[in-house]
Amino acid sequence: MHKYLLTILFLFSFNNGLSAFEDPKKFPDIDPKYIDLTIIDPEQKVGFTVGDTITRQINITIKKPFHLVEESLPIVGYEKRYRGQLLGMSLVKSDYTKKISNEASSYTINLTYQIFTNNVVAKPAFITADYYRVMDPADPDNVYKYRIPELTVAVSPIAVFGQIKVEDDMSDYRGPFFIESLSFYQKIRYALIALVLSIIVLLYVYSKYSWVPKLNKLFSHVYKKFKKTSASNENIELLIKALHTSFDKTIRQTLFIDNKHVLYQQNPSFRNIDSEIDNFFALSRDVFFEQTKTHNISMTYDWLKIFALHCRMCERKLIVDPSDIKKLSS
Amino acid sequence: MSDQNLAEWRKLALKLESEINKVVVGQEDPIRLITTAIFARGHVLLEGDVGVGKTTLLKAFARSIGGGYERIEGTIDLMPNDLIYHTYLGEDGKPHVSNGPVLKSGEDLSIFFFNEINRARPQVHSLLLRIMAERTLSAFNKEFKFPHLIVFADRNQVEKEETFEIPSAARDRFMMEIPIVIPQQDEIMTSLVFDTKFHDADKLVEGASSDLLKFDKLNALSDDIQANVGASAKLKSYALNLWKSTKNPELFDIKISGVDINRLIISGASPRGISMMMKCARVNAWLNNRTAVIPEDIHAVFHETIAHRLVFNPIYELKRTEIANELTHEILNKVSAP
Repeated sequence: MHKYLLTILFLFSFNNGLSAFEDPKKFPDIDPKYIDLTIIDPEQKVGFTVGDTITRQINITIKKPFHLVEESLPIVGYEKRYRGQLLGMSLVKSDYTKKISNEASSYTINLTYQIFTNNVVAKPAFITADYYRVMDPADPDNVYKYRIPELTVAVSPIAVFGQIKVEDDMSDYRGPFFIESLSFYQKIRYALIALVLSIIVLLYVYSKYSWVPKLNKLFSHVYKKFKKTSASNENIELLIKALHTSFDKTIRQTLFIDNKHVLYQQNPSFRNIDSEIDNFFALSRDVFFEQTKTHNISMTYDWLKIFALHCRMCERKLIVDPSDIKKLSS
Repeated sequence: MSDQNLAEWRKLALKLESEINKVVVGQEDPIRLITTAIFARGHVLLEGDVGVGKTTLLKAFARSIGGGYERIEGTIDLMPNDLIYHTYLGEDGKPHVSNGPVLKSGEDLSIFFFNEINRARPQVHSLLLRIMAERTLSAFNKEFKFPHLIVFADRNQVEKEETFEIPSAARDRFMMEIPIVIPQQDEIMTSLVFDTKFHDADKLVEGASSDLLKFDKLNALSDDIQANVGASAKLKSYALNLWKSTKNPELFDIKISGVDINRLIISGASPRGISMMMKCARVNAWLNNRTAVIPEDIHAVFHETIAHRLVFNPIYELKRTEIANELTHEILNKVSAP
């Protein structure tokens, strides 16, 4: 008895299992008002050849009370046929995500087909239409179908006739078609990110008030060391000496007024403060060698600090604003 | 001498320069250096090829300074007494002695030009060096004095046959060694070739104002310049470092390609040499209307006052001119001031 019951149950479930492979076309069409469908097909329609992949994204929303029968989704490994003939393409990857709300259930289905045919002449091909089944869980006996339209492509280097208009697909902006394009797109993405970052950094460096740490830091150190010190004869001497040392290190030789062209050759930015450099040397001469003039210590020290700041900007090849010196002298 | 007098003398010095520049074109730097040497009262060694205008230059200076100008050609058979006297048979048939070029102008001798000094024998060098150092000469049981004398000598660096290299001790007596080179500007070169006024050197020299300076006042003036042009402590420190660098260039990170800097120098600048450099720097400051020496004044005279005093390792002596040029250039580049 027990055996008989098991046999009946097995046959019943086998019958139900077979129904999954039943011809989907026999089910009635569902009222389209319950379905929202958008399909994102690849822009490229021609030039496919063996090994190429085509990915479709199907976004389908099924409104309550209906639900998608997930077993009706295409199965990986299935080779497409048309009128019993193999089309030369098979589904190699299938994944989906679903989102269920009170009103509907939404599916985002990604299907990747790979082409196996290697036609030597241009020939139209297509991914045949699929039929997804939907049903009301409260009424499992009535199953409906919904048709996902086919995608027509051309398999071969070019398409010369058929449903595909080649002239619509001849964009020069489309790169070469790769078997696996993802890595190339990633590289392009990284390169673009690097380019954008470089441009931002360059704009930053060359902008007026940029600050680049540890770049040509000779005058930067001098300015940092002296900017908060108070004015005195001793500090004036120290600051002038520090500036001389920085100039000497910049050109790797001693800078004098008669070889300042060497400085301008190495860093043309200093040419913009030529008159300030002349004044600096005149001041240095007077402080260290001639000692003929009496200086206003405070004003001289302020001038030297601004000059140090200008030198710092020049060593970073920035634009020097001479107005602060003019303001000081006025 | 007052500051006003120094200012007036300065105008005369600049006038002297401009007069000489009219006669000898394209030699502004050597003319400035010779002017400096005249006011620093130092002897000058000129270095240059034949026919570049050395004699014309000196004649023009002699004319403008005033005083006696004498010249002698260095030859291998020249003897010291040829500078002092020569003998001849007079019309009366008796032997006579007349003064040689050194004695001819007596105490008024202001410029003595020794052409091609390296062709003369060391005995001649020896006599000349005494005259240069002490400005005196003993002859005929008498001491002759030449208080206003400046010696100019030239040597041809190209020809080495039948020449006697001037020893380092002798070179040290010269305040400067000044290179005289052919001007490179096309305009000046064309003038020298096609402007007929440059073809007759004697007429050309006559174009310079005569007796512009009082040669017998120059010693006192030179003392005043040295006394009135100051040098700060920083400047002294800078000069001292320059001196040290001529002795031990490796300590100042001085490098010359193809030269082992540790073995290059046998003897650096002498105390006399460095003091002459400072004398010239003071004159240069005065000519530039400054009352204190600045590093640029030293730069203006450094090579000419120092390079010829350096004694190199014999393996580098053959390339002396090039190495000395590079060394002095590097010293100025590497020694910092202040």
